[in-house]
Amino acid sequence: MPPLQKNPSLRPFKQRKSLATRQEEVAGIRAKFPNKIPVIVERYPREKLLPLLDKTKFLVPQELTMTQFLSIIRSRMVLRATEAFYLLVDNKSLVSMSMTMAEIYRDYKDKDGFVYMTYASQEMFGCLELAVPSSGSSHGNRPEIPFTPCQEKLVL
Amino acid sequence: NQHVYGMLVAQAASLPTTPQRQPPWKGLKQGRVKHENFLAPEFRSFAVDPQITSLDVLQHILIRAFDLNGKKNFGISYLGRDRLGQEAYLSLLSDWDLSTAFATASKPYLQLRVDIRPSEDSPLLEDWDIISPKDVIGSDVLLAEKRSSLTTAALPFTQSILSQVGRTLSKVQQVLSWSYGEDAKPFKPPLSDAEFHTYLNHEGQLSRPEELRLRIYHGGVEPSLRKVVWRYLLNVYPDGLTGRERMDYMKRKSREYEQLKSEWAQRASPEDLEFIRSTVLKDVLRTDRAHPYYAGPEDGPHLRALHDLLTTYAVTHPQVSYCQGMSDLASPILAVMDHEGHAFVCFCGIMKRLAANFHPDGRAMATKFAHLQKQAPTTSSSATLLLLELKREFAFDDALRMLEVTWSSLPPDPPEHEVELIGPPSQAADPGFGGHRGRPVRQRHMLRPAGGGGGAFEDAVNRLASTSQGPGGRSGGGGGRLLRQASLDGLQQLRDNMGAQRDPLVQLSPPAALISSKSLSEPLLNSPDPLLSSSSHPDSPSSSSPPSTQEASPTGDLAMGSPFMPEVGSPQDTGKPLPPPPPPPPGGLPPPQEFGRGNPFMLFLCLAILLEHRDHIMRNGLDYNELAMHFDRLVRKHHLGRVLRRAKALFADYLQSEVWDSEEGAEATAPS
Repeated sequence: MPPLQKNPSLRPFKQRKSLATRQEEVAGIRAKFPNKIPVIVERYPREKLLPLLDKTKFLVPQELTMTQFLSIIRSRMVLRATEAFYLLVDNKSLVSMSMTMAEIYRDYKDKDGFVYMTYASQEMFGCLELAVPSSGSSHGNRPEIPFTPCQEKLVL
Repeated sequence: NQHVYGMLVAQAASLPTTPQRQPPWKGLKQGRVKHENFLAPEFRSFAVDPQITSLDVLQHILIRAFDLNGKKNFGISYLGRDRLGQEAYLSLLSDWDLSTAFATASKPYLQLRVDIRPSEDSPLLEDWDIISPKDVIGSDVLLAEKRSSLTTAALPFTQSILSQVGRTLSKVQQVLSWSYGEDAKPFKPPLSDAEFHTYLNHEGQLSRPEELRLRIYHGGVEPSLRKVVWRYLLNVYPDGLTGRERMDYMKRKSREYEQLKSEWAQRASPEDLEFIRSTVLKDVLRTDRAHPYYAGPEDGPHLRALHDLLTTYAVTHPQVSYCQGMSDLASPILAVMDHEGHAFVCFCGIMKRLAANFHPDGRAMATKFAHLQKQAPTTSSSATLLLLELKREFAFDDALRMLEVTWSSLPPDPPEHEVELIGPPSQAADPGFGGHRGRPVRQRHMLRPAGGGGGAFEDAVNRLASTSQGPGGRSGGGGGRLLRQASLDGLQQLRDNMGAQRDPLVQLSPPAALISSKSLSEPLLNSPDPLLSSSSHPDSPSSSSPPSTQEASPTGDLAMGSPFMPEVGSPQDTGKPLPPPPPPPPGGLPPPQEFGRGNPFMLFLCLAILLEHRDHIMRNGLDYNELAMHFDRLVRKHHLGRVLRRAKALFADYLQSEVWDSEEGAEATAPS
């Protein structure tokens, strides 16, 4: 497996900050915006078509539906209507588009308090796992999900 | 440490509102832009709708306006009064604070201060992309599919407004083939003295009467200037008077009034006079007494002036005489003019148009009422006070603004020579000055509608018409109540309709005999609607009207979207028998010169008032007693800013749509 993130800023959010830092961050932002959901949106590491987003951290009104959120992200990337775009929640689920952010938060939030989403231009068959080097410095005590072989099936 | 100031012009009750040519959300936010730092702070002004602006939205607006996105942390405070009544900046941290701020702003606008803290204070927000509800609307695909033109506007609040207005509006939309104008006109402050003078030429003649009205329609008039400007709006001055001539004119008219006032005894029999005076007095004593101008003892000079004014009018206009509600019309005029004689002249000016409202046969009111029903069935309950041009629905000061905006929506109709202070003699069989009129008034005042059988609006209108056969049949208080009662029947029916998913519009064609249309000036409208052009009555009441209408409101006005309507025939016509046209076709609105019998904008005001409360009514499923109570509670508490804005938007779209159905040439669908 090739090293995906050479540039530190492109390393996944979870690797850049310790669990404690992340938890603190969530607590701070939740106190300030109790009605908004903290969401981390990152590009699938092997994605080549879709651009990177300026920001990875999003504060989303909790009454927004997945559809609405999706269209906001699309508009952030200035995607044309013909460009495919998928958003996976918690790195594994294509959730119902009618779910609200509050429901997603309830069902999928990480132990650090963020909801993690990954986007790609192709469906990832629900088995995407990022190439997280075990040498990642700051994982906190979150157990890493083992790699799954189907990642290799993705032809990008 | 940077300080940035934001000025938020909140649309509070006393404020003028957004212009009429645009859908409501177009005028909601607009900014003047300037960016400076500490020593020279930066100002921007906005207009937001207090009802739908949350702190989230406000923050987002400020972030956009001052370009703060993600870079800085900032705090918002607003200029209000602290516990000691001193002006101070109070911090604005929650939606609760925000509504307090809207309610207690110490200036006519809400002034905000945005303190930008150095970003070190808050590394927290720096790397966040904060999504506000506003973003949703701009990128909502579903909405875009539904209304592409709307999404291109990409303005905030669209969604919330759409959902607020909801179903009733969609009915209106069907009728109006709703269009969203792209031309945004700025929010305007009230007309000031300096600006007013730009409408006068060097000799002091009013050179651009239509533009003046358009201007007032968009912003109202500064209170101190009302005294002067209202006289134009009320069509008191003939065309082309210079400043000096206007003063002489008013002096002469005042003397004429004093003369008339001294002639009561010659003009009316003692018992008539006694009856008029006692009726007038009863009403005067309960008209706007809460306002400082009319407060004080019952023999105060202002009350006395109002009484004399109304009595003089009744005596000199035997065909109209006095009926309840006139005091409500005269009172704001007197308070603004602060001169009995001038107020009388103005009152005669407005009564020239409104006399029909008070006319015995009730036809004018029935028409307005029926038109209102057509627009949106829910509107019936507020229709009550059409009689008074809605004045009673608002607090006194708001009423002044509402009146001037309404008046300015009409084309100028200056008197040919001067305002007539004396009406035509009574047409009754009785010789002399209307010996006929006294007692019927008294009798009719006692009339109350016989209990609510039926439940159909037609019944209500029929009853309305039949209870108002005599002069002064409808009264402000009692009549208003009667109308209210009647209209509630209509509302009840509407609710049934809603439940049954039938189109209420189809069911609400009013009875034929009650509608009197005057299609005087269709040719002026250049309407593509074949119905319209085919609708001229061969026996149109006045053949001299079209030319004068042309003068008053050139066709160009309509093309430009001016709010002016071709004037309906002069109110004097209403005494004549009118051709009873067939009822209007379902699903269309009459052209402006028919709609609302010469004051279509007011009907949209009613509609707007009802729309404001529609959700509440529907949600709680108020029955009609509850509904009556609801609106009773709301009297004088309506939010003028919101109501006006909504009414203007509706009105603009009505004018733009040009899909008016004339009242000629279609079958009414029988209501069930």
